[in-house]
Amino acid sequence: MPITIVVLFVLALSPIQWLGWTGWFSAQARVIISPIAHPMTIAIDTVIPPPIADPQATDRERTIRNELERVRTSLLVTQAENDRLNILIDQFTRGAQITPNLNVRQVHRPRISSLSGDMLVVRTGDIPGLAQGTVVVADAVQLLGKVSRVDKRTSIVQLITAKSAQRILATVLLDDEGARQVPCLLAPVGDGTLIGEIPRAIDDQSDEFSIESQPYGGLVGRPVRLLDNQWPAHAQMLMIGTIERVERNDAQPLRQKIIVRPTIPDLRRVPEVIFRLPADSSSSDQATSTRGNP
Amino acid sequence: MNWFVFAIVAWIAFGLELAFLPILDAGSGGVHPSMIIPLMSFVVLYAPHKQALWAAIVLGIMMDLLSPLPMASGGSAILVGPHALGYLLSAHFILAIRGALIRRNPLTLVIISIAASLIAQIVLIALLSLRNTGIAGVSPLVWDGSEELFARSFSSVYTGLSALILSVGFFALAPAFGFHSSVPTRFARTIK
Repeated sequence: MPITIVVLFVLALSPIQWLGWTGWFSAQARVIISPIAHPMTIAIDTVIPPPIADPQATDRERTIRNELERVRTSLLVTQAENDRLNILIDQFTRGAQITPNLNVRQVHRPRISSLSGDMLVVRTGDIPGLAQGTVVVADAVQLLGKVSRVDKRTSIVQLITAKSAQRILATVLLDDEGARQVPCLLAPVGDGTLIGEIPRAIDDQSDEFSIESQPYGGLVGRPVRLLDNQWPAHAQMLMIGTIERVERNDAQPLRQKIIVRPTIPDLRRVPEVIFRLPADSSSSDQATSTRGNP
Repeated sequence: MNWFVFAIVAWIAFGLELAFLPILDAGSGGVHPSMIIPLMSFVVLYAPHKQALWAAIVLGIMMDLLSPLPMASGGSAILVGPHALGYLLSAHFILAIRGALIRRNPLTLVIISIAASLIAQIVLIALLSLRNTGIAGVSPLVWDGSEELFARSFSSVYTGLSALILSVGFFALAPAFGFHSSVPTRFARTIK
């Protein structure tokens, strides 16, 4: 009995790639159970029939309706694909225009799921050049995060808003031309926002702090962009988000806190992401880079 | 204990478990009653100590083999151990208190099944959450411990209903199981 318990513990915590052989035993277990489960399922379905749409319709009406739905579905799929490709072309065009002097390859892939800890699982397949640290964006310019792990089929992307993510050096654009900028160090809060501090302006040294009279004027809504040497050159000036609110900083009265929220409200739920790869990593993936199928 | 009768009853119970899963699923939220936990509780209530523990392990391993877990990569994994260890701990719990129970009362089986299910699910959630932290290797499972705890707690309560219904059959079949244990009881004569 103690040996059995130890073995079960080891098996329960073993890496999944070591447990491929359990599939065979699982199949045998299903073989054993199926002869009783299947008749029971049939019996239950007979007693409690599964709900069907429009039970009054004849078989011919159902056939015609099914055919109509099939054609309609096909049409809608084509329309959706058309819309998606139009958006993708627009995003690629805008993304390439960000850094025209840097040759960056953009590869878009669908998100599979989200994991706890603000991680995205993306079905990447075998993309040449994709490695840990690859920059990931959405909507062409919204910085999503970095690739934290790559395997043969999927990649895990750590979002910039993940609580475990590293701090980011950013710059707040105080005017539309970008002539006036304030640097700040943004730290993820864990609720989808980032918090940072910027100095109060020299000409606003009144004793009473008030957000209404804050020095930079209308900080709320100002864009915040990446300007961090720890990130690749082609990622600089990507959008981190906009300032959602400004708070007073009791610990440091000469500085004020800004709370930044990405332009996409929930980064965990983006349907697709775009990997920004150095173009020299491979030139053979151009065909697959726009297809979206790994 | 007659292991042949146990195997047949377990086979039928697994059939019921799989067949009734879509029917009794409460809102498709993963809340559904277990047919195996009441069987395990019933056997552990009556069987000798060692046989009761082995029966729990066997049922747990079968449950593990029939419960693939979704992986983040889109596939699924068969993990042997979480259910088995959970059932084993539940069996230990029942063995520890069975001397103080009125075993022929169906409500005893109901309460014991709920408690055993809760213990088993907590062990399972703890093990899977532990391995999903990343210390056990790559390919994490799609697993949210808090959501699972919520759903599986309600499933445990729901299991009380299946235990109440199944208790009729189990008590009728009790002689066929051939239990021969001498468990000291607190409030009654020792059962031989």
